[in-house]
Amino acid sequence: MSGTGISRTRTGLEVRLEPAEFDVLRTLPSALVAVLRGEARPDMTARLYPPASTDDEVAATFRELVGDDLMATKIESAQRFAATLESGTLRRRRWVVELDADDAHAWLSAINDLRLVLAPIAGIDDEDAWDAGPRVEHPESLLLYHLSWLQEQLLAALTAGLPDAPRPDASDD
Amino acid sequence: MPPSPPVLIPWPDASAVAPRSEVTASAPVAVPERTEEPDTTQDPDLPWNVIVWNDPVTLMSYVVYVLRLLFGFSDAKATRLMLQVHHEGRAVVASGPRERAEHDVHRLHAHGLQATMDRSV
Repeated sequence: MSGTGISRTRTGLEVRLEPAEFDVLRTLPSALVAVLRGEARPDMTARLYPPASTDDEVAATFRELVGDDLMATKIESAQRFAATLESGTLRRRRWVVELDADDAHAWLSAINDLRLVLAPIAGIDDEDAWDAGPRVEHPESLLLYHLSWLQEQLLAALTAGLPDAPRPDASDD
Repeated sequence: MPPSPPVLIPWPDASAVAPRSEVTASAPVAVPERTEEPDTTQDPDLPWNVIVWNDPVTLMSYVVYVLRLLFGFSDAKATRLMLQVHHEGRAVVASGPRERAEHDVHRLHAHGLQATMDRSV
């Protein structure tokens, strides 16, 4: 298996990264945690913690009840992403990381939050902005596109593990 | 939402997903005698809708996965809802009592989706 990407194994998921890819990814979690805590890029707060209702009172109550928990959950995902990334091994010139289901979901969440933060910096403010493709002179744009690919890899591997049939409690109308 | 790499998905039918109200236990047939008028000034116990909103960053495949993960929807239903979010700007993904709507919005926010809870009328 010489390619990079994410695949399912008997015990979970296997992530194979180029060493240069690993070098970039490992710099991201601490930056993300700073943004999640509101210590950096406060303009991102509204998108990372959107209002829970168009009713201001309901939104305020929600923020009071779950705001801290939401921040803690996101930070935990970012830290789990960092820890599992570092726990990989170099195998035939690939950085290989083994993930269980909980690790995979932490990666999914952390990568999604990273995409949300990078997008406006990369100039994505509406759907049409994707038409131009990655801007090669712009590191944030390249990183955003790379994280999109990585997220798609993760989703393909995770989706293969979802049951075909809807849950008994879920309607299917 | 930006599209995923080309994937063959079943084309959904055009009908919008209608909010499902909670099935409540029906009142007993024999109504007990009342000596006073019931309080009609309180709001009826309307269900709360859980709404997912479109945004230009979140991948379509991500929305489908999160809806399947959190609500147990089939791929077809989750895809239908995602396409409604994509084309119409928003979709109701669940409907029920306030506490459950709060819980659903919390979980959706934890996965980075823009979601709100609003009264159904």
